[in-house]
This record gives sequence, structure tokens and C-alpha cells, in this order.
Amino acid sequence: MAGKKPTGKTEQKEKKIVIKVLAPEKAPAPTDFSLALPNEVMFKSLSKRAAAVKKNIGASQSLSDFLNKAGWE
Amino acid sequence: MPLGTEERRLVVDQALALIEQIYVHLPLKRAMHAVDPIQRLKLLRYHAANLSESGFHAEMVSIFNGLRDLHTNYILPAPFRNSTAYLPFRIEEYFEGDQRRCVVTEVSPGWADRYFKPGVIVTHWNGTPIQRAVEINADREAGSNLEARHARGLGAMTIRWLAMSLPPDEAWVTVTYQGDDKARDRRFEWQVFDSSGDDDPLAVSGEVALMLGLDAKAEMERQTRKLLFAPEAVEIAKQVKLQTDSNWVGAPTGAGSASVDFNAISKLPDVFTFRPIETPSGRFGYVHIHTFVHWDDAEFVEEFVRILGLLPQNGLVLDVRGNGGGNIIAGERLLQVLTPQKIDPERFYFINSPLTLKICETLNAFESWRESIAQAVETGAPFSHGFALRPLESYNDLGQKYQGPVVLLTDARCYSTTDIFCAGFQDHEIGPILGTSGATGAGGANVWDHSTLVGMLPGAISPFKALPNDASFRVAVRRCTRVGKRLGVLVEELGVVPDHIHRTTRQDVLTGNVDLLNRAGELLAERPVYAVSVQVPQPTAPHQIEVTTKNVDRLDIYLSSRPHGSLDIADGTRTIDLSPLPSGSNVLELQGFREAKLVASTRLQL
Repeated sequence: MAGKKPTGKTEQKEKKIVIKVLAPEKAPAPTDFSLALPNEVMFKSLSKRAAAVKKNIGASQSLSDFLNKAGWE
Repeated sequence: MPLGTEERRLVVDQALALIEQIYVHLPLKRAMHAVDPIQRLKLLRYHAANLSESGFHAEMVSIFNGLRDLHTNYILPAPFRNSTAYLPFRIEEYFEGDQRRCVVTEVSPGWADRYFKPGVIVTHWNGTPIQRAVEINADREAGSNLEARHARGLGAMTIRWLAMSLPPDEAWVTVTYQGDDKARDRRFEWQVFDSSGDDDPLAVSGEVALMLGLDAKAEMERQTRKLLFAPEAVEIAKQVKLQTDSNWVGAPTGAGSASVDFNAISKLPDVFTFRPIETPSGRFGYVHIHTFVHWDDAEFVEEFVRILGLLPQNGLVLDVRGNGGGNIIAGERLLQVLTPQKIDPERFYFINSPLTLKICETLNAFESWRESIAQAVETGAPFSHGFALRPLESYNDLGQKYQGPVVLLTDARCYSTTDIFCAGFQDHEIGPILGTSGATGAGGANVWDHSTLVGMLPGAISPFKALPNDASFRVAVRRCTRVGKRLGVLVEELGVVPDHIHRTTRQDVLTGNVDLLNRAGELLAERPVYAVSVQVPQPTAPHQIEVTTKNVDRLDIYLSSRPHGSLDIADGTRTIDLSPLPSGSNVLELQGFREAKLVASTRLQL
């Protein structure tokens, strides 16, 4: 089976943060808020995007709980 | 905390004072929609003690929605005022032939699954066919025309700002959609979050609070969509603020130090996005003005001008779809940079009443309107004379900055300041309007908040009192009319009808408006590009200027508004000697004509 043999060593990958602006023509398909963004601020995984949304929205509660607390009959 | 009976009566009494004494559109709404809000309020006051909390607020919201005026609203007290209900996805519409299709276009990160994702067609909503469900929702919205109500009904299917919308009746929604292989259902519970904060469109004070033209609900929904679907936009706004505001109190720690490239990102990132676009008809500039909510109009216009300088100069697609308005001055002052014509701003009118007379007599800011309102006791005129909100010079103090042709994109969600901007664009014949709806939202007025009115007159002569639990109102107080060929025509209820219609396609809603932008490119390519530019090669010899022109056959030269000369010219660059220059500083203005029509102008401080 093709593939690399494990070396037995832990390889440290040098982490590079490349800051560059996407050329406008290569920006993602626009939505209401699409922007050409520095790579550093793009969320590289779905879980990181989801975490950012959760942080931005803050705590949420169900509508039923909200209406009960508000005394909405 | 629910309102007690006396508190409810106070709320109703304040609504009556607003509607009876200052609401500028009352005669129009009575005629247009056969409504009687005053009698409904009096009945509500009579029954106030017998209604449930939800029943009272539902009737208040219904009375104000019946006015079909997104400027004039009842704002529910806390905790509703500060809360927004949402579902974690967005639905939009497109046309397949004559058929409307409802499609999921965005799903908040973490909520999509292998079946429910952007691109699936929604067919039913809690078992109701989706178009019927949208119609039912639209009936609860206040938009002036059917398309505006429909657009708002569609938006409110998934986001409701509870300050102005009743909570959903259902605790959850079952969405039936067409997946890849078969029809599927998915259930979503409505969630509620605290939407108060820095971006609250109701939190404005000072002079700008008197200059608002804004659909506050649409603005809150836009902000909520940004939070749910565009965390990148939220992050870039923080990065921009870190770079541009060294005094930012409350800046997040560890926020990073990414350097924002302002050649690609606006310094007002919530307001403007921009880029060059490639279309089959050519490469053009594209700017989307998402909102006019920016209280410094000079900064707003300055940033727009800066962005225009970064884009192709042979044509501009200017997009104001979904823009619910904001600062009227910012909107009207923007027009001058797109045309060599002098901008004639819209005129604003009060309804004639003892209260509007008192306001105009007490406050110098409204001195212009005083005389005609006072005369109304003799003339019987229902409305005051009309005046611009600022001196006329302020709408023409910068002159044209972009000389290429411009196409404006509009839809039924354009409202208020955006209506006024679109009307000005059309009335000054700046360029064609390409709409995805038959008209804009049709909000033609300046809106004041109840709290602004409370502070406006001394307590002894003012009918306005503070309301309990942060309840409030907004009311249209000055209506506006158009200029040019449509002089005197109302914006309210009529809106701006585009010159061309584009029916939104599936490609548009799912892949960045490709078909719409291509159509805009076609319209731009049909139009000639004019250019007049000037340089001073030797600053020590400002009387020698180099002028480059294109598609211009006559050049008129003005120095500090005085005629200096007129030349017949051909395309190209030439040196012109302005000797002798008047002493002191001079403003040079060059006006380019084609077949006796003014087509381009430029200004330079010498």
C-alpha cells in the first residue's frame, strides 16, 4: 500500500499566518455582506464560524420561555 | 412587567396625540386605505381594562399597521423592545417563468444538515403552502404597496423584531422542503435573543434625530441577518474600528492586529461594500449601500467618494436593494457626486395644526415653516409650504466626482431615505433604474421618535409625556415631494417606479446576483462615457492647467463661480492658461457639454 512510513518523530509544522487581501474578482459569491477579507479573519472551519455566530448573538432562549417570563397571555 | 390599566390608557392617549395632532399622512391614509385609527384608539382606551396583555398590544400593533406606514409605529415596552425572535435560516424568492419559488439561501453555521441547505425549495410552512403562508404574514406588515408588504412578509417569516412585531403564534415551525431526492420536513424552534446594543436604530439623539427617514424594523432585521449569517462581516467591522478609532472604549482584548486593506474594504463596512465586477458587457464598478444609518453625513459622503475613486471609471452599478433608509441628509447629499447637474433636494411639509405651529414657533430649527402654518387659519391649507431640510448649497458643495454612467438597482425593500435617494436619482436623470420589484417601498417622510417630541416643548404646553417600561412610538411628521419632471408628486404610497424590471432568477439568489449584474452591465454599455479631468502640472503656476476630455465638444470654465471662458474642443489633453487669476484662493470648475447638454463636470481648488 502506497504511503509514507511513520518516522517516529513528531514533526513540528511551522505556522505561517499569511495576511493578504483576496483580489476582489476572487472574493466569494456576494451575499448581503460579502467582503474581500484578509485571510486572517476568515473562519477556516464551520465550527469556528458557528462559535463566532453564537458569540455575536449572545444567549438565546426559546420563544415559549421568553413569553412566559414576559407575562404574555 | 405587564402594563397596568392606567399605563395602557396613557399609551393610548399618547398615540391619540400623535395621530390627531402631528401625523402628516393622516388624510392620505384615510383616503388610501379607508382607516379610522382615531376611533379605534378611542375604543381601545374604553376597553383597556378588559384586555389581556397580548390583546392590548395586538390591537395597538394592528391599529398602527393599518396605517400602512413603516415610519409610524407603536413600539412595545420592555422586554419586547429589546428582543428579536429568529429562525436560523433565510428564505428568498425567485421566478421560474411566472411562478414564484421560495428557496433557502442561507443557513446559520451549525444548522445546515446534509438535506436542509442553501438551494432547497420550501413548499410548505406548518402545513400551509408557502405562498399562502407568506401572504398571511404580509397582511400583518405595514408596507404601503403590495410588493413592499410581500417583501416584508417574507422577511418576517424568519426574523421578527419584537419591538414592532407581535411574537409568532407558534413556538416552532415545520418547514417542508424539496430535498435532492424527495420532500422532507424539518422542525425549527423560534429562538429569542437580546438585540439591544450599539446598533439600535432607535437610539439616536441631537440634530440628526430630526433628520431621520428610516424603516427601523428593516434595519434591525438587516443587523440580525448579519449576526446570523455573516460573522466575517461582524469581525471585519471590529478590525476596521480597531484601525480607525484609537479611542474605542470597550475594544475587545486580544482582538488581533490584522491590517485591513482599505482599497478593498470600506472604512464604514456596515454601510458600503464594493468591488469591480466582470460582466459580458464589460468590467464595471459595483457599490452596495446597505444602509443610510450613519449620523455623520460628511463622513458618509466622503467615504463614498473615496470608494468611487478605487473603481473602474467607465460605469458604476449602484445597489440600494434592501436599504431601509437612515439619515436623509446623507442620502440627498450623495446625489451630487454622480451628476454634473445641480441637485434640487426634496421639499418637506408639516400638517397644519396648533401643535405643529407651536413646535415651529418654539424652535428656530423649524422657522422656515412657521409663517405658512400660521397663515393656515386664513387660507385653510391642510399642509405647510415645503422646504428642504438644509440650505440648498449643502446639496451641491462637492460637485461631481464620478463621471461614468450609473445604473441604480432597487427593490420593494428600499424605504424612506432610500426612496428619497432613488427619487432624486430619477428626477435628476442621473441614469436608468433597474428594479427587481415594480416600485420601491414608498416611504416619503421624515420620522421622529416619541422621546424626541417629549423633549421638544416645555411641559406646560406639550401633550407628550414619558411612557412606561420603554414603550414608545415613531411618527411621520414631515412628508416630502419630488422635484424635476415629477415636481410635487408624493413619495409616500407611490414610491419610485424603475425604468427597467429584472425578475430575480435562481442564479441571482444563490450565486451573487449574476443575472441581475449582467443586465445592469448591458444598460451601462449602452451609455457613453464622458470625462473631464484637470491637473495643475506646476503648483507654483496654478494659472496653467492641463485638461483632458472625452466625448465633450464644449468646455465652460468658472473661477469661484464666475464665468471665465468657453471653448469648443475635441477629445484629448490640452494646456489652458487662466491668466490673470483673481487674487486669493480660487475654486476652478470645468463643465463639459456634448451637443449643448451638460454631461460632466469637475472642480479643483487652485
